[in-house]
Amino acid sequence: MRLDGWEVSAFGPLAEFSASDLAGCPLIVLLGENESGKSTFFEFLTTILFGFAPATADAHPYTPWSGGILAGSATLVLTGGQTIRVHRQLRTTPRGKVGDTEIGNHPLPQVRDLSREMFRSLHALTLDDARELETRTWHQVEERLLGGAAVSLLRPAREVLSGIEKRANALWRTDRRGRPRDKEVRDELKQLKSRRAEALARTRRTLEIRAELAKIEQEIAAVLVQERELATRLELAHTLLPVLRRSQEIAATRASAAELLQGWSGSANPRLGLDRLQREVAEQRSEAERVRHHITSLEQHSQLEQNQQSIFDREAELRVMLGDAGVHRQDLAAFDDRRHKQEQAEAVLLERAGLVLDGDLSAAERAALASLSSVELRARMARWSELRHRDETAAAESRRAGEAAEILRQELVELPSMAAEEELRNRHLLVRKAHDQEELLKALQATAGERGSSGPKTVGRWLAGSAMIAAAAGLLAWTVLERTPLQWLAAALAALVGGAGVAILLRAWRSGPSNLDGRIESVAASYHAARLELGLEPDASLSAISAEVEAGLARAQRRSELEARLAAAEAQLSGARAEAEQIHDSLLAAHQEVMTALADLPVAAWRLKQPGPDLASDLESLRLALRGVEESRREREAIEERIHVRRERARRLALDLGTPPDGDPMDLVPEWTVMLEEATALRRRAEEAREALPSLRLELEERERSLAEAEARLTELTTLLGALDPQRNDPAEGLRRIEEGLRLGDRADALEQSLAREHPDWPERVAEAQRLLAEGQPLDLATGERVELEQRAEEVRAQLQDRRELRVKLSQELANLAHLPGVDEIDGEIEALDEERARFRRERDRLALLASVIREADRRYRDRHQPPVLRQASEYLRIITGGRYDRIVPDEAEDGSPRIAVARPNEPFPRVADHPLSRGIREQIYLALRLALADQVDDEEPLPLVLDELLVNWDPARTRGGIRILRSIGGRRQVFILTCHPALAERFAQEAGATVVALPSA
Amino acid sequence: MPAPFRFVHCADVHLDTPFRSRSRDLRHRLTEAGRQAFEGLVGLCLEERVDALLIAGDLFDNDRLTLASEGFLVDQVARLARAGVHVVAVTGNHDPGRADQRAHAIDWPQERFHLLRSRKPETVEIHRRDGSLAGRVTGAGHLTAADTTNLAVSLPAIPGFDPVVGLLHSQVLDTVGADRHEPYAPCSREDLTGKGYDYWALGHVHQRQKVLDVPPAWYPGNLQGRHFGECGAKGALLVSVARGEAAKVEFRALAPVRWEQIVPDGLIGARTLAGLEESVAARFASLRSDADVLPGQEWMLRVVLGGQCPLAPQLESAEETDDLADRLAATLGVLSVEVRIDHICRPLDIEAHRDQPHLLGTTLALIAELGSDDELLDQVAPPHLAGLEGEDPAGRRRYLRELLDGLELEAAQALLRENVG
Repeated sequence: MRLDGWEVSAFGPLAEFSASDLAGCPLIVLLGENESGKSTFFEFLTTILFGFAPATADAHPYTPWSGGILAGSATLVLTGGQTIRVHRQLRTTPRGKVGDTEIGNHPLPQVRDLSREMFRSLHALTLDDARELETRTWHQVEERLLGGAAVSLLRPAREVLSGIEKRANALWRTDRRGRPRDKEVRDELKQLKSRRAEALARTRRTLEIRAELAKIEQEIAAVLVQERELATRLELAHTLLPVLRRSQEIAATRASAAELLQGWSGSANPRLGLDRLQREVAEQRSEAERVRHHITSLEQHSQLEQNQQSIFDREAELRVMLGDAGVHRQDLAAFDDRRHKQEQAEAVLLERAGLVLDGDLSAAERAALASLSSVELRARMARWSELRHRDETAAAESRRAGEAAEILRQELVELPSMAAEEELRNRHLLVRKAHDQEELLKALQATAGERGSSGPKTVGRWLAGSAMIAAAAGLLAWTVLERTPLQWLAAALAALVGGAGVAILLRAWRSGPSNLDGRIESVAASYHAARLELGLEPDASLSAISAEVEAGLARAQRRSELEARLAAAEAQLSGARAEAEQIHDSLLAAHQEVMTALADLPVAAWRLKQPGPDLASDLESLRLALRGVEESRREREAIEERIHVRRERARRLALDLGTPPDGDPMDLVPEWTVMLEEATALRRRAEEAREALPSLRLELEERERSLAEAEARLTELTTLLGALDPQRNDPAEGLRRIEEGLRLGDRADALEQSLAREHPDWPERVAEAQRLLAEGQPLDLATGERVELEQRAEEVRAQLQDRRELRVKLSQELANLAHLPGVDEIDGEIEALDEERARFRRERDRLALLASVIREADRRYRDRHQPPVLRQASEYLRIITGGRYDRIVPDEAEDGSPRIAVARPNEPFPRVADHPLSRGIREQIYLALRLALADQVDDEEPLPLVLDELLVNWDPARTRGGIRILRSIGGRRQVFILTCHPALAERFAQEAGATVVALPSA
Repeated sequence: MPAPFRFVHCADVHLDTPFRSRSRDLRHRLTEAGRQAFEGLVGLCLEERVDALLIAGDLFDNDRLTLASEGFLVDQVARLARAGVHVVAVTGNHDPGRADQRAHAIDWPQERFHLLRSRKPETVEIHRRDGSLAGRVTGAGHLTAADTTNLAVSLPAIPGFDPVVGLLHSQVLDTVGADRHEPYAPCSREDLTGKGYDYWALGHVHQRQKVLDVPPAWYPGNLQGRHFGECGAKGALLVSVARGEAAKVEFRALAPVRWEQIVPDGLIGARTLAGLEESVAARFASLRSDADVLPGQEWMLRVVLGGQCPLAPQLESAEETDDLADRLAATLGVLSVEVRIDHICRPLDIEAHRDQPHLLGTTLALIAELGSDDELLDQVAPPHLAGLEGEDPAGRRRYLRELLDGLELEAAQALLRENVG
């Protein structure tokens, strides 16, 4: 199959890339820059042959970067000469056509025997393949090329087999090496079986214990029966007679008690009642006496109150005085305080008066000061102050206007006169004239100097100007003959040249010697005359006199300005003086008003000279001091009045109470306080006594009645007790008899309760004993018989104890056994292990079978494919090496791994393709084998071979060999060489006649 | 019309079965589940007020019954006896009835309990609580653990107008799953016909199934599944038979622990373990919606992951699969999850390599040949096999061909480089 042409619409970086008429080209070089799509071309070719993979545009790595649709066509010429056109397109679903026939995404029929992976693996030789020789050991390459995994998508068979066998051996081995899982499980099973035997023994032991326990239970039951029988007999012997005796004792005790209590119907001990009655009589008697004494005491208290009546009559007044005592003390303190303040205020008043007045203040003056209107006084003084300020300001203004007019007058006097000004103007004109002549003279002298040094230049100007005018004339004459464009141009040029010649001649003429010296002389004479007129010395500078004249003119020009300013200043002075006089008159009037307001006060004369705000403040301060004095006086007098009134009231009260005062009657208040408190307490106690007396009297009556009743009951009881002693009628003896009778009754009850506790069936036993006695049977056992019975009972109890202990021991053992794993549990573990063992043994067999299958497949593959591949590869090697080597043969290493050997013509023993053979020959062997492998898979329809930059790193000799073999292959199979090196493309074109197709730029 | 003979038919209780688990707690729970199922069985009899409970053999496992289980059994049977329910049991190969066997040593209740433990057929009349005859049960038991006598043929025809039920622990040939059991007391379907029986209550095969339509013959399956070979709902049959009428047979689930195996689909699309877990959870949810799921049902799950899966490299690690199992057990709320990796491999387009002129193509072709070429199989197979005992060539080839299943994918995975699909 040969590729005749293609049209790539869009495929990865390739777009609108086409070529045609290539079927006859055995070698085609695709030349392009990096990333221009060289590798993509192989993918495109693969897609044309096999369809899209993956078959969705989203996932396809060569979906156009532009976002367009993956599409392209190719024209193929088959081995039989048939031409087919294949179109592939991937939009949402892949489509394919061969001619007009839809093929979907299926491979072309011509490549159906070959998988995409095989084509990619064998028909593309890339730089990576060459690098493989560097990254892998030659031994691995040999194994892959000679083994069944010649294609790169497969791992070498030996490597795969090694892995599988390792996994299989980790599970189970036929030999005893290592510790495979099977061996571990076998050991675990052995342990489990040992544990199972133990568990089985435990189960048997459990059954034995259960049987033994059942037997023990029976024995215990039998022993218990024996024990009960013996106990019954012994109990009868031991308990019947004592019970009978104790019942008889109870009966005798009860009889004695009954005798002692004859005549006494109560059931309780009367001693308690007797004691209680005696205590009650004594208590009632004592309580009645106490109440009586209390009544007497209260009656006395009620009488004491009458002695305090005079105090109670003035109680209200006393309490007012007591209440005023505190206020009185405060008033005394306030009185002293006000008196002190009044003195201080008076001192302040005198001090302030000294600042304003002449001498002390009389009463009338104090009244005048108090009635002085501060507001009015301040207004008058403020007006005076304002007028005084304005008066001072107007005087200053008048003074300043006078000074300004005087200065202007002085300036006018110092200015030049009118005649002097005219003279200055004339001198100024003369100076200007002299200055102009001086400048002209310098220019003429400079021109004269230049002319002296530029003579040849001037001659040149005359010659050049004349020549140019002559040339212009010649040209004009020529233009007169005919009016062609060229002549019009020449006429214009002649005008320009003639003009320029005239200008040059004029300049030469102007710089000529005519009139220059005369002019210098004339100007110098005028200049010197002007200097003489100005009176300048020969070496004096003209500029100095010029500055002097200009300054004088400037001063003369200020005269009129100064005269106007002087007139204005004099008018201003006159106005200021008039205003100052008017203000001063007002000031004097204001001063008089102040004096009038202060007429009633002896204000010091020096203060009246400046009656401004200071005086007003001092007078106000004086007035405030006077007010302080008056207020202190009024407060002191009010306090004094209150003290007096209070003392008068106290004095009258003291006389009423009979306690005349020695000094201040208010000093008696503490004494009165004590008196009032004592009287109040006496009154309170009297009131309480009067309230309590009725109830106490009732209580006394009740106590006396209770005492009488208790004494009656006591008498009744002692009478009754005395009756129990008929001989002496002694109540104490009667009481003793009752107590003894009751004690015997209690003892009989206690004996009966004790008997009932020990023998609940004692009445029956007593009855039985009485029956036995009545029948004449002795209740007591003989000693020997009792000993024998007790010994037997002891033996039975020991036997019972022994059985019970054994039962506990066995039960404990049974419980312990129940906690240990049973046979079923261990069997569960064994079964789990057995199952795991069966599973991994099966897995091992599966792996072993897989290894055997791969080994057999490898052998078959080699047998089938290796000989033709090696034959073809030998032929390729012969071509590449130029006949140096002509055979590639398989060999085996010591470990059985495949090796490659090569042989020369007529050499009987091949040599292993390893050291010392060069790397170059190994690469050539590699290429030969790869090409032969490709031949092997598509012998009937050889598909194009694509070499991507494969030869770029080869030396010239090997490159030559490579080109040679590719040219050889190209005859049978189209070969595409992808490269970015133009030199290599050129070499292929020259040495192998390759067609070069340029890829579009990236 | 006389009242029908109503009974519950169960078999293969296998109490005290040793469980294949390395976890002691789990083994205890599963042992307990067997007893719990039997307790449920007794509860069903009492609730349905049936006339009898028929136990078709293998009440306990491997002639071994712990004292605790014995006490439990006797108590439960006594409950039924007290309620007027007869219990008729035949011995099976696991609980044979010879005098030196375990079944003989049990102190069964005297009243309303009938143990048929010899090969000689016996007939038990089942009387209702009111004393009327509900029906007759005829059966024979296994005397030893490997009784190969055809017991069915020895059962007599029973004359009369009352319903007659045959009770046997027997392997009826060609029934589903029969090949997993030893052929003890074997019989054919024909052996069950022509005796005029109204129902055959069979035991031995653990998969519930109807063996015959006329007369109706059933295996109820075992009462409680014990391993992943006994998946699905397990329980007993509630049967009502009357002369001249079709028997009414109704399955009642009783096993508190249900064994199930989940083989999730679409592993080729599972790119994360979370996705895989979701796939398993979805399958489990459909199992839980089954009508026979009991309230509070507990589960023993096995998740089999096989075929092509992008997660294959991770799942080949035992640690990963153990973690996955723990996570699934916690997520699904089940007793235990076993994750079994069954020849998993990364996604491969194996067809692309078939018939190609390379080692893999040759290997695939060879595997295909081995499927049918005995001589080639003998030649290629490894000389020593770990998982096969005996030298029977046919058995060896059968075993090897079982191993060939899925070997193509495994070969492709081994031979292809990791980045090649």
